[in-house]
Amino acid sequence: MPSYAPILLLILVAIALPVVIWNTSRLLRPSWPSAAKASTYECGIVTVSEAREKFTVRYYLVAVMFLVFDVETVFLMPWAIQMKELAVFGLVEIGIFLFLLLFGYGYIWSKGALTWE
Amino acid sequence: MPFAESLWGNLVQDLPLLVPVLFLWIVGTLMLWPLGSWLLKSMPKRQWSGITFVVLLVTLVLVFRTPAGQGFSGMFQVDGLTTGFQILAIVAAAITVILSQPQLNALKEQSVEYYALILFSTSGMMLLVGATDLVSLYMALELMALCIYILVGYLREQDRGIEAGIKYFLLGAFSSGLLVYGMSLIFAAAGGKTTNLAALNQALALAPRNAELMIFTGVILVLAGFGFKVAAVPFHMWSPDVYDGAPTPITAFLSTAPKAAALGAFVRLFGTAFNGVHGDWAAPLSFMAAASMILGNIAALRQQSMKRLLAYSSIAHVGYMLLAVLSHDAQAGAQAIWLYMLTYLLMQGGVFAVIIYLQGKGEGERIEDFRGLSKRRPMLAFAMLVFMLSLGGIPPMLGFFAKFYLFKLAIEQGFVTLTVLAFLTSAISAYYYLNVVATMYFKEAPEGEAQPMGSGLSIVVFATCLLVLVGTCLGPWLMDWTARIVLV
Amino acid sequence: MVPMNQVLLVSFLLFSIGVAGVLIRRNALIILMCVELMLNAANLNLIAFARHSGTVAGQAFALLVMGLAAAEVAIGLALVVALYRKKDTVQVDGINLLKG
Repeated sequence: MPSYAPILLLILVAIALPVVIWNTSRLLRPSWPSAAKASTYECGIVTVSEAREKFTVRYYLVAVMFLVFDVETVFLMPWAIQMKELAVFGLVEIGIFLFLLLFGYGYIWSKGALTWE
Repeated sequence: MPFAESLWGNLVQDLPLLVPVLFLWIVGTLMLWPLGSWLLKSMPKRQWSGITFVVLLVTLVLVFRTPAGQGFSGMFQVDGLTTGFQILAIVAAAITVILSQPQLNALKEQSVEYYALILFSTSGMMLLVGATDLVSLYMALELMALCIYILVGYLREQDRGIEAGIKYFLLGAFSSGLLVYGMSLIFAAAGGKTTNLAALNQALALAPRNAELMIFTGVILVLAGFGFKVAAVPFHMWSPDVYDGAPTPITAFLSTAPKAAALGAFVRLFGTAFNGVHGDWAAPLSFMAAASMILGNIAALRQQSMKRLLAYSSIAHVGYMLLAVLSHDAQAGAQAIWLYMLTYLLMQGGVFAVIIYLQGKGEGERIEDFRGLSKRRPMLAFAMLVFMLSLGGIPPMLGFFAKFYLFKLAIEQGFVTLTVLAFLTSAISAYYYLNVVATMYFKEAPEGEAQPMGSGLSIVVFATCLLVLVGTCLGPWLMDWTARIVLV
Repeated sequence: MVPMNQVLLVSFLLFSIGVAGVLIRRNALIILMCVELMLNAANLNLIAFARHSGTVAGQAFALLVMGLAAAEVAIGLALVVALYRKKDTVQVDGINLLKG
């Protein structure tokens, strides 16, 4: 498998580099641990709460809508690959598909799901 | 570009097969937007049930006018089985829509979405029964199921409603996972070349010997997936809870339409694609049928709630119908199931109309609430009597004839033990159905005035009651008539 | 080319993890993820065998499964949010009003 040799080499270098750097700095630096040093670092300001915060339910609503519209693009893939062969027929078909998504968009808009009061 | 030219030609040629489904899609989409939420915003929401009913009637006419044929690269086929089971799905949806009107009015939960989802779900069933390819089969099944998940959890302000919704969703998603994995194994064992049902049957016959385990696992997983959809033991756990928690009209829908559609697809899938590997699934399916009959009927004996009683008894009814799926003769099996499902649908629709009437009066759905109904509303009690006797399969009611044809087919196909079992458990079922009748006729009525019944509910009760009685008179000729509609 | 036996093994492992997760875990969101795992196990089979035989039917099926899985998750998330609003929990154990 000669063609995989560079990738293997890259993996080795990628593993070796942090190991070498981290160990070198550990040998060279002085070590005086304290509570302040062990706490979470976030741009120098004292931390106020856990990083695992609850999100408001509205994010889920947006996520759900994003998810559906995002994954529908999966159906554009086969068309994109065969675009030349499918010619006008494919264009019309995919146009109908996108047109239908428009109805879904209109529906969620009219329901007020896109407004964030 | 000859390739693209031929695509145009195929599309124009195949499109007539899908006209009823397309009609439902277009109307359903327009109902959501822009009609429902923008143009007709000021219209009272309760009128949507009438509109939906008319839409379903138009679809029924379109189904009758759809020509037979196969299209969409062998993905969809219109034949007797498709037309027959499409009719069942539409009739079930129409009954549900009429039943929904008073119930949702009482709960102040009318919305366009509810009716649009019923339409979409019906379109999924109509695709499902005509699907002749694993891809279209799965897509139709999901279209049907996804809409029903939402409908089951429709009363999201009630604890029981949302609970039933999430329970049904999680088990439904799990079952579709089993189903797809089973399909992928079958597809792999058949050489990974085709997903068409007829072609799969040929490919499975040529599969190498070391693929046998793969085929067996795949068939069992697909069987489990369908078992969940039709609520056959041991995949029935969700059904009583979901029936109990869902809005009552949706319970009526759930116990008839998806089961009819899934059984239609069941017959087609196992009769076409897995016909050659009959040995792999005959024994597990017999087990499922026998267990459904026994457990469904015995568990129904000790139920206090009418909805749960109907849930368990519907498990038993599915057990009887699985006898016909076992049949080597797919056509005869489909006919027997169709007739049984049609009679079941009418009786079930009538019973649920009565339940919704009692619910509207503030009473629960306990069997106790039926006591003294014969004194308070004699006509209603008589209709209920007809439904109960018919559901119990007591001769000479309509339900008896449906059961008779089903059991006759099973005997002819050589499933004697199973048929004897079905006969015995059917005798058990007579006990709990007659118990309801006894409660209506021989127990003292509670205090209180009888209220007038809504027009929609009375129409459902009396139409179904009339049809059951007419069917009873025509019993001996029903099978010939069925054979003319469901010619596979 | 990877031998088909290994593909089947990996997909079977994925599927088993998914099934075990659905049966063991009681958090509705995690059950949802495990169902996704099961669907992806099926996708792996479909794509590998379609590629093996050089036809596209299986690939189209896999794309469809992906699209439908997304729709399923969207509905599942909506139901879970509704459950959370009502009950303040996403644990399936917490819902026990209805007893089989």
